[in-house]
Amino acid sequence: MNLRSGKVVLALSLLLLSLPMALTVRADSFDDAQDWLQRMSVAMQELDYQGTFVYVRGNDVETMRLTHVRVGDVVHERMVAISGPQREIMRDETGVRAILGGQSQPTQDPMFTGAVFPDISLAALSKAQERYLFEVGGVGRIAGHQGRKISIIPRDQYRFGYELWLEQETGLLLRWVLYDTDRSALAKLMFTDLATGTSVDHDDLQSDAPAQSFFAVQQASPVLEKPAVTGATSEAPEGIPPGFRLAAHSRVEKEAFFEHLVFSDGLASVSIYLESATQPGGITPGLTRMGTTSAWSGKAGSRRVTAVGEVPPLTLKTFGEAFLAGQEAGD
Amino acid sequence: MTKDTLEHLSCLMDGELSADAGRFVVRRAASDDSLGETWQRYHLIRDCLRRPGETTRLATLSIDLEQLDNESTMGQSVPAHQGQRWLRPVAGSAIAASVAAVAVAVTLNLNPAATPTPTVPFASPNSAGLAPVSQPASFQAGNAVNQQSLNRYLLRHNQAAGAVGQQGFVSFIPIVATAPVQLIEDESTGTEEAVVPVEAVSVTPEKVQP
Repeated sequence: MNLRSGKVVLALSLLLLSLPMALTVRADSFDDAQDWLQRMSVAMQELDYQGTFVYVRGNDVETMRLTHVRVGDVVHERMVAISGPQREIMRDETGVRAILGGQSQPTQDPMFTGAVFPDISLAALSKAQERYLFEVGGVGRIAGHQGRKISIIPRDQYRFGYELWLEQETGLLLRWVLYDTDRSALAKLMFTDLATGTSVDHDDLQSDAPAQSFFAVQQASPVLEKPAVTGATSEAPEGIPPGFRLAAHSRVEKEAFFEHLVFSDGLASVSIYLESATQPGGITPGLTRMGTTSAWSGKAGSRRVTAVGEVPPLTLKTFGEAFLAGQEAGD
Repeated sequence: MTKDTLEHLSCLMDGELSADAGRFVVRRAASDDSLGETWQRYHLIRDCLRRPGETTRLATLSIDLEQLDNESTMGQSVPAHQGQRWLRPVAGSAIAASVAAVAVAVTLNLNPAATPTPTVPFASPNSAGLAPVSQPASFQAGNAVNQQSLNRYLLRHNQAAGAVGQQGFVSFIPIVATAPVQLIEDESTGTEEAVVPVEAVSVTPEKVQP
């Protein structure tokens, strides 16, 4: 073996040795990100914190003040809009109450179920690993705190991406960015100040608005069932976007046919509504966007298909057309 | 309806309104039936003014808005269209006078690539016998029925997503926050679709269907 071939063998050996290391780095990156997200989920539920955040979408900027205090098993939460019409949402052991400024008739819809920053399922995150790349990035300073960057990058064009900055010590969310498939930012949320623990002013849980200004928000949720076989897609037609599995469904056949299916890839979710085409209340056929959420609707024979979710329009259209084709085949 | 409002409406048709002012007019029009009717009337009059052989298409509000959004995106403060302003209601009889004159050749194609979306049809009494090639104008943003339906779907989706632990990272904050009017172009058909302001999402009086 001469010197040249010896170098080649050495290079190949190093390459082979480095492969498992590279794979380990990738796996560890997900594990690290998962740990950080789990920390965040617990911190947002369990810790006391108070801060002002801005929510930016396009040219619109909303400023809101959030106070979150846990007393025993009870969470006291108050979110109030500082800019724009008066909007205020309070949550405690007595339920959820809200003021939605500018409304002549307050809604009773159970929109504000759960916390402002919801719990994150570890099982769901594991599923999301198939379709997203998780990366733990560097450290930056946000709202006076050291934050760690977590990137969740979609592996295809059927889902949005996320970037989260979590407080280094506690895991609290400092900054959140929703990315479109072309990596342009769709929406951002960032705390401009954040106090934790004993620094939280509990007086901020009290509203300045009179009690009669609030209306109680019902907490009922639609009755949904888990699919008979976990992860089964037997009720989904061919051609739906990859990685989405049926997570829940409900079906009503009384006066008119109505079926609601929820698909999830572990992070993003899409609702599919199948209804009688003659049933009033459908939306304009085609695509509609409301902020970061979109909807797609179409008709086939006696059925109307509507897809809704915070996913790219392509995803909803692919879902909708797949179900339309299924309806046509069934008619 | 004030003269200023009509002025703004005319400017919007001409693409000479800033993005912010355009959105204001649109939001107002969504809740003002008379303004919506005026918008349709302006298009009707322009339809009558069209010359034979012209490829003028009536611009729906959607197209105007897309232009405004593009202006906003590009950071432009000057109007994208510097074409001849018409139908400016300087005086109460200005519209009638301009119809009588018929000397004005109107070509206002705000988005050549787009086909206006047919929504609320209205008949164009084209007395000149010209076959209308344009789509009717309408305010989709003011479609309350569409909006309520959308709210109902969205509410149920949020509840269902929460029930299966898929509510995302920031829950209902995007819904509470105000959203701009946006369009989505359907690539397969080349048409723009519904325009729905998100403010109303938080105000649905209906109950979610079981």
